[in-house]
Formats: sequence, structure tokens, C-alpha cells
Amino acid sequence: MKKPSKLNVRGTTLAETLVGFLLLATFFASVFELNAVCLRYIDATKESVAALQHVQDRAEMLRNLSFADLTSTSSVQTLMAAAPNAAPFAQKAVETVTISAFPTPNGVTKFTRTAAGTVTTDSVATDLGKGLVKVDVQVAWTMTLGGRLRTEQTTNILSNGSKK
Amino acid sequence: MKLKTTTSRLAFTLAETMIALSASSVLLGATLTSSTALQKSFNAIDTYFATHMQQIRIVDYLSRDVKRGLVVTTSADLQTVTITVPNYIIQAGDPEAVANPDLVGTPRNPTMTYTPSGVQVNYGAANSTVVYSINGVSILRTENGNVTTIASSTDQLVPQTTDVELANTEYAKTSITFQPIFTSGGTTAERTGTTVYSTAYLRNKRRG
Repeated sequence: MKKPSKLNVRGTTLAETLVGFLLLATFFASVFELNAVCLRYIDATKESVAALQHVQDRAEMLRNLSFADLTSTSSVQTLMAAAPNAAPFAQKAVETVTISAFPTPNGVTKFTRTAAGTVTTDSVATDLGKGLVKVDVQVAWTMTLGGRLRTEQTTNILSNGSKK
Repeated sequence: MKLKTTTSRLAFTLAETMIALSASSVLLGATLTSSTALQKSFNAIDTYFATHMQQIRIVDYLSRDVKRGLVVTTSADLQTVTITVPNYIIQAGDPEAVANPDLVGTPRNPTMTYTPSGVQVNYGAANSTVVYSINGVSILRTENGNVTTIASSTDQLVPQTTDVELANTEYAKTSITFQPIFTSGGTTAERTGTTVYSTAYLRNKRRG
């Protein structure tokens, strides 16, 4: 009589199972990381928009000054003590305003506002003229995504005159 | 007669089956939960970004109208803004267009009048009225009765504008918020975190 042979039934080994788990874990880790990157990009976009609004709002405030105030160091320094809007972005950004006569500069008046809200006058122009000035507004901040330094800037040419 | 022997076939024991069932349930549960969470998260990101873009569009529209306006008035609840805008462009039916139809769509030449406070620039006697308002989930811009939907979102977009009068001018401060899809009990902080701020000054002297 022939003894019935043992059926050759094989399951997965522990090593195979562990490799399977590892692959699955890697896949999910990748997808979750992708999701996290999307969230960080959203945050970076919000920062960029806030920076853009910050610069535009400051430019609006400066262009609304009378020409005498715009060319007065103390007036601009006082104006810059207040953040241009209520966004929390102002608490992490360094703002620089540069004013010079246009088209031919004769020195540069430069102000810096720190994230804490302290305004310093870095330089004063020899003469800002009586007709046109060039006003640069720049804001710099450290990006949440990647910790990179980013800047946003705008330039306006403002003339002496009043609203009509 | 010899009885036939049963074939020795191996099967899973109850314990093995139960363990396998538990492990696969955990795995399947984790997979389903993860994929659902990820889909929700991606959907929320997509919606958040789309609504954020709408916030920027509202700011653009409103700032443009405020800058070219003569007077800005906001309602008590800060959610309706009325702006009086000069008719800078000659339109069909205007006296200039009746006299010369080719002038439709061209800039109107302003006239200057001398007032005790100085020269005043005028663009015709008639002005346009632009109204920004909320209607359900939409933000509407109505110019002389013509309605344009400038933003629409189920995320409860709420623009709030304050007009501040100065000596000869006026400015409008606007903040726009929305309620993101993901909330924890709808607390205020989550809406506050979506705020976009904007400030726009009149380019004209305020009249009114």
C-alpha cells in the first residue's frame, strides 16, 4: 500500500508578510506626506497673498499722504509705526520703505519696520524735490515652507498735488 | 473489506482563521479610513484654495471701484457697500453718444470747475452707483441695475467693509472671511484664520 503523500500547502512566510507590510506602510507614508505638502503649500500661498496685501495697503497709505508729509521723515516714520492692516502677517515681516526724488535721485530716505513694530530711519535723502518722488515698499519674511527668505515689493511714482 | 482512509488534507484551524481575520480586518480598516481621510483632506484643500481665490477676486473688484469712486457708504452690518462712481466712459444714450455715436466706449473729457476749496474735476452730471451685497452664498456687484456674481461659495464667504472719512478723502477697509470645510465645532478661530485684509483709498476728492 502506498502511503498518501502529504499535501504541499505553503503559506506566506513571516519575511514575505513583513515586506508586504513595509510596502503598504511606505505607500501610505508617501500619500500622507503628499497631503502634508499640499497643506504647507496652502499656508505658503496665504503668506504670499498676505504679503501682497501688506505691500499694497502700505503703498495706499503712503500715496494718500500730502506731498509735504510724504517728504517729511518724521511723518512717514510715525505712519509706519502702525501696521498697514490687521493681518497677523505683519508680526513676522520686516518692512522697508525707500523714498527718493524722481527721475533724478538726490539721496535716499529709508525706513525699516521690524516685525515687533519698531521703526528706524536708516538714511535721509539730501533732497526729495518738489514734484515727483519714487516710493519703494518692500516686505521680507521667512517662509513657513522650507524656511526660505522671501520678499514682495512694489514701486510707485507719486506727484505733488491734491485730490480733485 | 478495508475501509478507505481519509486523505490527510490540511486546513486552517479556528485559531488561525480568527487571527487572520483580525489582522485583515485591521488592515482593511486602516486602508479604508486612510483613503477616506485623504480624500476628505484633498477635497478640503481644493475647496479652501478655490475660496481663497474668490476672496482675492472680491478684494480686486472692491478696490478697483473704491479707488475710482467719489463716495463710499457701508451699511450698519458692514456687508453692503455702495459706491458712487463717475461715468468715465461714454455710454450709449449719453448726450455725447447721441451727438456722435462713434464716441461710445471712449473716455469722457472731464471739465474743471473752480470751487472755494480748489479746482474740481467732473465727468458729467450723472454718476453710476455700484452696490456690493451678499445674496445667499453669492457676493453680487450691481452697477446701475446690472448684476454680476463675483464670487460664490458654500463656505459662507463674508466680506465686511468699513468706510473711514478723512478731511478730504475716504478709505475702505475690507476683511473677508470664510468657514473652511474642516471645523472643530465651528469655532471662531478657524474662520478668523482665513481672513484676507485690504485697504483702498479714493483717488478722487470725496463728494458726499
